[in-house]
Amino acid sequence: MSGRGRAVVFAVVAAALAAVLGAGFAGLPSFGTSTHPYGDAAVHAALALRHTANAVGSVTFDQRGLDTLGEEFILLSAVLGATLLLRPERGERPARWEVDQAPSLPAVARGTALVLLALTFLLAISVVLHGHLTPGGGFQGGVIAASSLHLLYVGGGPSVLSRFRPEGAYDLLEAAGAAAYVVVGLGGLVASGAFLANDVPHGSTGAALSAGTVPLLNIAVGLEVGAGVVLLLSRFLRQEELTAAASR
Amino acid sequence: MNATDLLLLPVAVPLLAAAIVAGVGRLLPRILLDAVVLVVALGVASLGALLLVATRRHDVATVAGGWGAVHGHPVGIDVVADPMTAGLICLDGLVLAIALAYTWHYFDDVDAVLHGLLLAFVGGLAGFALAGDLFTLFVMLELVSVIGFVLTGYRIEAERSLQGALAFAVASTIGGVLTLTGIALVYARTGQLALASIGRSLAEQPADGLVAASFALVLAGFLVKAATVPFHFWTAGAEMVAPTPVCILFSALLVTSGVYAVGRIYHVAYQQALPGADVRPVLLAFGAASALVGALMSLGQRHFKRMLAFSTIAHSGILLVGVGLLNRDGAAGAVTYAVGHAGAKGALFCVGGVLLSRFKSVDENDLHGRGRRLAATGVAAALGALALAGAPPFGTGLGKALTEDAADSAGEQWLVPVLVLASGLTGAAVLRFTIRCFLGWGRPVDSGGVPGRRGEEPEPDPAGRLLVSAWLLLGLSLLAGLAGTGWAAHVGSSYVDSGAYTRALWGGPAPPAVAMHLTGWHATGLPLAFAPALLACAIAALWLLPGIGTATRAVTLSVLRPLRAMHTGRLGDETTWLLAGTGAFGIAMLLLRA
Amino acid sequence: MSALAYGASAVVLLAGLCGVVFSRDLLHLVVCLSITQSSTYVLLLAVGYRSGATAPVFSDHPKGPVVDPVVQALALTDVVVGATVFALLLALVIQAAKRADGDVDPDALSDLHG
Repeated sequence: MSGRGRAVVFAVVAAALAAVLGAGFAGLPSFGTSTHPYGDAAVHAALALRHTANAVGSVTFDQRGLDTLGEEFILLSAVLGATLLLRPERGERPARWEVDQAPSLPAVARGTALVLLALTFLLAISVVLHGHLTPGGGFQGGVIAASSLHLLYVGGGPSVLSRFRPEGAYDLLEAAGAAAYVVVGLGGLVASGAFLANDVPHGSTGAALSAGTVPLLNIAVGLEVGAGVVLLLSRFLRQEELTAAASR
Repeated sequence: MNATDLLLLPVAVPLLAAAIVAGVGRLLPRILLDAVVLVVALGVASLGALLLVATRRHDVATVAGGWGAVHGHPVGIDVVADPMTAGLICLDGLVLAIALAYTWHYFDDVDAVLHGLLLAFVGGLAGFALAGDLFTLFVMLELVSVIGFVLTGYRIEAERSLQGALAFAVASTIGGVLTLTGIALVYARTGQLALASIGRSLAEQPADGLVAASFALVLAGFLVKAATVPFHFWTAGAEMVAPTPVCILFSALLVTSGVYAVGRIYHVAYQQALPGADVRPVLLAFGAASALVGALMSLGQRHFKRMLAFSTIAHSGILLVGVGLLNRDGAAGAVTYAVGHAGAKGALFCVGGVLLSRFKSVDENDLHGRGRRLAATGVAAALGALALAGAPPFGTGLGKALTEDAADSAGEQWLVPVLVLASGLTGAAVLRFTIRCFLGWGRPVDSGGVPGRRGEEPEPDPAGRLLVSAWLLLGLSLLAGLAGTGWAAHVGSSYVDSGAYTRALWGGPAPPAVAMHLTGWHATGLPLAFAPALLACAIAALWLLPGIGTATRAVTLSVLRPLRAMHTGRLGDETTWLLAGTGAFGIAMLLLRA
Repeated sequence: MSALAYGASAVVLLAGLCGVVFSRDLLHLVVCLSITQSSTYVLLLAVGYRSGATAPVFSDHPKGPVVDPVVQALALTDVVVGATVFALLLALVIQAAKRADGDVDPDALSDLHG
């Protein structure tokens, strides 16, 4: 279609779509309604039945754990996919990073980056481990952990980062996290006849050791997401290196 | 161990294997990785077969995590297997196992990435088939889509591959957004995400604009997967550029799963809210449009894989017609057709692979007469063409006959010539290619469409193994046609029966079993059964005969010109058509309900 | 208030789609796609809102009215899915840009036509 043609057709299509959306949205309950039957049941299930203070975490990992399994493997597939799509082609060689290619940041900035790295990493671990108590959990904590590692890139440069990023080890960590999730699920199947059943003792609400399998799954996901995002970023950074090498 | 314990194994085992392969696969020898994927694929197929046996009399259901209702409200994720689910899982495993013969030495598998992706793909397909929950369907849809467009873009050095992968990614993402919008609407209305619970809740209230709009929006993502016109543009591009084994998976499994979801969502969740009389015309219109557009476009292609891609679009339309009739007979026809088509299309892609390995090309012009010494391949191609044309005794023929009978008894006689024409045209296209390539008849002439390029795919290994896959797949297609109609009637009847679905979840009295009988092949139906095959031969002859051939080409290409003008290959245009499809579906549902 | 909350989602959806359709730069197209996805976050969270309620995390307050945790879990899944798809789309854009020496106009990617 020509530019004008596409504009005309899209205008009509957008109007139709807006009409459909309007008809749909018109039937929605008013914003802020107090009728949330699934939500109330989920909160009761989280608190009374599973002693999980973070109801969202309970829904994500306990009540709707199968969705989270799928989500986790979407991330794994994305990392594999990025490896495939950003692989070095024939004739491409990565640049060898020399020390003098590190960004010339003043020492104060580099020092701050390293201090922040330690703090951020601790924060990440805290977010993952307390996923069943406070907002957060495996996904959020994993992303924070991966970001903390990349403060090395800011503070030290790509060569320093790659020293702390042995890809084989991260592959293993990511796979271990993903596999652990399935293994916990299969454990539930063997122990109680239901995949992803949460039949481990639930402790008392608000205690560090509570909510049964939720902290275990949080740790598994945190491991997988953290290692996965590091690998994902490493593929992109390597592609940068390849492009830089080619343009030199 | 009983059937409910087995239920999630077809999901858990491949995903676990995918994780292990992703982690340590680069340390393992290639042959071991291939063996793992083969064993898992056959394992999934066996689990599917076991589930088929377990679902003989009633559906099998469980709730993931063992959750029951809390305060009277279902809280966990429903996982339900009926014979259609079990059959789909079995087909997934079988086709992957057969397509795997291709991957040996075909792909340079960096760090076992490919094997991990294939394992996750089959796990996702199984999860898709088993999901009894709208959001789980969405998550599994996204999992399968992500792996799909990654595999499409495998050959990163080819610009066309990147374009195909981008088209697939953009279409499936937008489809996913529309589906999720619909899910949010349904959730707001019913407070449920499980299909059966949504159905129960919607039955208690009058269906208003929200219900109709949400139906159209929810189906959008699945219609993209099902390559329904006008959501189909990604298929034509992706199956043209994706590595051939990936094309087999797309045509046989992905597209079939998309159509499966359309029927599943309607029958379990929306059937009581939106009467069949309102929904059927819309689904049939989309199905018929896909069948005709795909068939016509396939005739005007010189690139064999793009021709097969358009024929997939056409056959998916025929599947949607079967499902869209919303009755047992139509569903039975669709399931027979699905197996028959999976086998035939897979075999034809294998033929394409043989041609690529020998001649590095799949262009009809380029290959004119060069296949003369590949007799066995030529026979396979011809049989595949006949199967696409719905010739008995292939599964496609039986499925088409059943669908036509179902259409006839539902009062939709207009569908019969549509099905005949669509089958005939796609069969004609492939037959024309086969005769030109393997017999050298007819003058070399440009059939139009995207030209093939020399060396556009790296050569797989020698043809022998590929031909074995082709024969196995053709055998599958034959099996569907010769296995009678009893199994299809059983699968079809439980697919449309939401009562059986809910009984598996919540118990309840089972109605007395009704003896089911579908007429299979019968003498009076034979002329209709052979009509598309004869039509295919006639049209192919019109293209190949000297003198008439040039005229046929001119007429066909001028008829196709407006359709071809719509297939610009540009993301902006393709997205506009996708949205137009959703808008049209939604407006139709709103108007019919009012 | 309902109109604002739900209307915002619809506006973001349509604006994102408009951006995708008329984009002249592949990176811009992918970002518009991401914006389109974010309309679902708004809709999901708006559907789950309860007036006068607080977050569904009980480690610091006793049981009381809270917003719907289920849609929050759905939105979390949506965000993860969106982020991963976005990453892969960017990978494809990088490869496409490499072959086109810089910016890529989506309308120029029309090899697969006809």
